[in-house]
Amino acid sequence: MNQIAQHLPVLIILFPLCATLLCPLISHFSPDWGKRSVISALFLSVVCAVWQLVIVVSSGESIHYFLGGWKPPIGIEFAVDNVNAVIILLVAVISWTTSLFSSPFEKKERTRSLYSAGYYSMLAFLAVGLLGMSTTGDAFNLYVFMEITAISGYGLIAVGEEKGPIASFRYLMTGTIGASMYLLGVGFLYASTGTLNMADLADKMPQLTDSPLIIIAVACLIVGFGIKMALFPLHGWQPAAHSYAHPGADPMIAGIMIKIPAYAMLRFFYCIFIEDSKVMQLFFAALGVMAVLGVLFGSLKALRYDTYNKILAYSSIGQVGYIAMGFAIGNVYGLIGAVLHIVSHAFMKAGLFYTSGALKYRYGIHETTYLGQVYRKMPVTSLTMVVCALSMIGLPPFAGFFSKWYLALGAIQKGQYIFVAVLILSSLLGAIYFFRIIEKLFMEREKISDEENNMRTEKKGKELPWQMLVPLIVVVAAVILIGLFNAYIAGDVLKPVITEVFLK
Amino acid sequence: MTDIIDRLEFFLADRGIYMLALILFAVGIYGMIACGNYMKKIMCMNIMQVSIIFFFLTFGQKEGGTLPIALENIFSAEAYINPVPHALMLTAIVVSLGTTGVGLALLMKIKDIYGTIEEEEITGKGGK
Repeated sequence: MNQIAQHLPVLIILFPLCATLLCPLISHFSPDWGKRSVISALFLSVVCAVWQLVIVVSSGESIHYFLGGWKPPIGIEFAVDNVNAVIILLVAVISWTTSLFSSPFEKKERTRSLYSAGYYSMLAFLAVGLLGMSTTGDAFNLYVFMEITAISGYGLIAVGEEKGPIASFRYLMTGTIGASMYLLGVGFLYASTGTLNMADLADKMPQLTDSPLIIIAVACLIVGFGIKMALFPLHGWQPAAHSYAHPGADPMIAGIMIKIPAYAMLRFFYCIFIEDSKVMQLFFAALGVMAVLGVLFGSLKALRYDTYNKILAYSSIGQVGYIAMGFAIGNVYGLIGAVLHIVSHAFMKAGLFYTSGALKYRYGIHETTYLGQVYRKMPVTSLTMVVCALSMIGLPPFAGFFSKWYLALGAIQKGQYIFVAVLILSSLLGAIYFFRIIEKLFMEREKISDEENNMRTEKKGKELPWQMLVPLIVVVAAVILIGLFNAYIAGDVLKPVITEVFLK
Repeated sequence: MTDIIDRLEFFLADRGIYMLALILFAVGIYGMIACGNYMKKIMCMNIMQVSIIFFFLTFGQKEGGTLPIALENIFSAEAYINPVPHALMLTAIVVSLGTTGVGLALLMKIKDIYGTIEEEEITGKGGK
């Protein structure tokens, strides 16, 4: 057992990677087993991620895994601490539930083995990229995983609805600029320090801080990560990509594909640069402005739309603004709020996109005007929608309230009251557009007649196939449990690492 | 006058090559924004990626350095150039190949759906 436990950081990534490569081969003989291989590989990752989290939290020490036995400045290092382990578990859980969720879709569409093989390979590959981005401790390795994420993401967006290829192409253009900017930033850092390992970079940075080269590098990195996480002025690709992606894979794309770059940004900046240097002051200022504008822009823009997916996509821009706000606050509570918001928003947004996918699966609709009386036919979906929407607004027992609470605490502690004002204002705006959806769900007259309903569902009487119900239940449970146990998560799991590693 | 020429010469010898990389980068990004044709956008994307590869290789270069393969009569590390930027750029070339491939595949699909790869015609047909 100990032998396996040593290799956990790499095993979590290796299972989906193997599934990516094997899935096309297995699908050639049997599409069903190809699909199952991906689902089971991702399930093994979930098990390993839970195990790793337990080990890291109980021992209180971070795991350092050296690939090929090469020690850090030369080799690539995987570093896992409490914050990391939580994020890895989050990615693994959402990837697994998404792979389960999308399995009924292709029965309805095309049953060709090529389609199924390609789709599941890309899904597993997306999971590889995201898990790698949250594990790695090497700046260039992060670039490679970022591109793995992006390339599989382009594919999953393109196989979606009719406008998918255009949205995907635009994302490809913007995403490549983002990745190139990141690479340029890493190039400047490498040229001035001669190392790519993040811990080593942190050691060598104090002598160099405030040199113009480092300031240019930071600017490039902010643009690079900003494009990948759809931070306000750099969000152009995001609404179309999130609305037109494949409805089965959308929860993963919208839920975690923009959160993990945010996490990488946190790790990159807070681990490498010292807090009171000139560079970090610039970083705080730039991110603060982008965050405030992004939160307001996202919330206001979401009010304008009637399409469910568009509302969710624009609200994501606002929510990424909250995370950036946590980085800009930059004290213990601010960072706890940011990390907790990465986790809770990933579950909430994935949950909302699960409901969107479920509606699409059963009725083929995206417009909120057709939601009338849907709660009678789809009780579990409606429950998920209500729980996630209330959590997004930030009502108490749910996860969303507590992450906003920590952000507000951090802002008050640092005396930046404008952040508190923006937080409250945008929560109120969020209440408007989410209550509009909830109102339509319960009050509106029924638009979808029963005949149409029977025509579109394969089995009447049943709400959804079990593969789609499991993700919905997992998400609701996660949103409620994170809310209830937030004191433990924030105080015992996140706080020690954040005070020691990020704010040293 | 000679002073200015001397300084210009020094500047070009010292930083000129980086300026070249910067110009390439700017040309690439400008093309990606300004070109209406998606095929041209992909070509400009490649120019931008090449400029970054160029940048890495430039700072990996050293005057008087030789190939990073151990020779019998040279023992000091200063005599060899750093192989890491070149190794990194091999990976970056592979990544850029992958992105270009995905981009071309997308273009084929866009051409199937809309019958054109000109941005103006596509937006005219309601593809926003």
